[in-house]
Amino acid sequence: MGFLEFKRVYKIYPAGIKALDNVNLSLGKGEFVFLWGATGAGKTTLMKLITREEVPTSGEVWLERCKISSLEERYLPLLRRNLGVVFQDLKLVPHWTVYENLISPLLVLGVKRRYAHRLAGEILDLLHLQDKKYHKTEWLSGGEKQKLCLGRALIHRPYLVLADEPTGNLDSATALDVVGTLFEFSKKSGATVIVATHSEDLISNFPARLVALDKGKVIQS
Amino acid sequence: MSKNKETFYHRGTSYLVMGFLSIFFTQLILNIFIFGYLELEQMGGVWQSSFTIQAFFQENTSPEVIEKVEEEIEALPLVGEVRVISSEEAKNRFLSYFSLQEDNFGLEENPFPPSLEIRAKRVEELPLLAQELEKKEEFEEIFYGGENTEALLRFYHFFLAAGGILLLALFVFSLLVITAVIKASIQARGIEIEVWSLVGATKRFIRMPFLYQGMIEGLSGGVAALVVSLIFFHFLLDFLRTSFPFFFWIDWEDLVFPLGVVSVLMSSFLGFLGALLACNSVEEENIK
Repeated sequence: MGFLEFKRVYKIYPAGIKALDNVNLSLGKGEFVFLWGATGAGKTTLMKLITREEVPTSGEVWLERCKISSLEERYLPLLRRNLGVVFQDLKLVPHWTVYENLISPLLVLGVKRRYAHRLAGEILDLLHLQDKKYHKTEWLSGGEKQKLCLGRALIHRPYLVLADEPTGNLDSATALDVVGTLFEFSKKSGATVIVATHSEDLISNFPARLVALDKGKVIQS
Repeated sequence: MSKNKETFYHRGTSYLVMGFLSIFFTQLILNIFIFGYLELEQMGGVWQSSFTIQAFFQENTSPEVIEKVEEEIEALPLVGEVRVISSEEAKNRFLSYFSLQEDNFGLEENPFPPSLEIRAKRVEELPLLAQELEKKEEFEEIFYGGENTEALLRFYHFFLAAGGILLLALFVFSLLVITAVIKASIQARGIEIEVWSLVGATKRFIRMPFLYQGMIEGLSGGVAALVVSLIFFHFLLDFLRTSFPFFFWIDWEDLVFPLGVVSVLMSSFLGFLGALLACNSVEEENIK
């Protein structure tokens, strides 16, 4: 069994929209994967099944031999603490500072403040946001917010990183920089990284596995 | 700064002020009721010393029997104090009451029977105790003020019952207010709650700042209400003592402890409970 497995997964939303159609997929530990597809292909739904924001209509999702598709609600925090997620809509708290948004996963984990401070410093350096540390998040540009969201996804060294259209608001140079950061993280830490994108240009720049989705079906894996 | 404090400081001040004010005014009204209740207790104490049961012995009851009955009555659970009034003392009281001399009494024999003067532990137990004493054959007559006392007791009970119902209503009302205020506060912070939940925070972690908020709002509202109440009652009692000096007013110092305890404990509990109810009510909406 792979590190992450989808077995005969269907997801049909109440209005009858079929978001995923018999998805069978297996990803290994430490893999860097592009999840490619047009808008509405089912990329975000696939990600949400992993974070358990959604549950499949039928089928199973397994992560490290744990059937997360039927995980009890009380265990969801344990699952999510091991994930790093760059959300499509960022999900940053606008009135928090950059630093506060960044360390939120560490606070949840109960990491000591001094250690959290050091980790935050490293991430801010990596993302060139050190001078914005105490700025309110709402004052940041779109690209800076995207970087902050990436930083929050990586700061607690998760073993699975999900990035849903992380380059959507970025120019091509910054987009390459962001995905490059994720690629480096995967290589250094051994984490599995899934990047959902509809940009073919981006994919061609990295030697990574490609999983293509079309109308909820896996057409290439 | 702890994680919970950190999240707490991000709260909207308007919600904090609303929560504080709702508890403050509730506690203020509650303190007025407590003042009324304590004043009533004070009156009850005065009644207790004023209203006694007079139990008159049968004619020719021997001193031995009187002593035995006195001991039996002293042992009753409702009894606070028993005093024997001899025929002689009863006669002297009569003479003193009508400002008469012994020579003017006019009767050769002392017509006053010996009696017992009995005080109940609690004034409202007076009729019950009188009923108990009426069963004793040694007594000719039991007198405790009858209808007048019962009317006063009915008023006393009514006041306590009405006060109790009002207090309960007030408690429920303030609980609803604080719950609504904290619920609004939680809903306004939906994005924070969602982010906490998505980065793996437990429900307990997410709830904790709101519970702190409720408790701190309750505590601060209660303490502020206590200070204002004590200042108000200080001047009120001064005024009442000057205007109605013969009435039995409670001492201001006797108010400090009960008002302090109730204000601190009750308002903190109220704030905490309100926050807990609010969390439960919005949990399903925001914490996925």
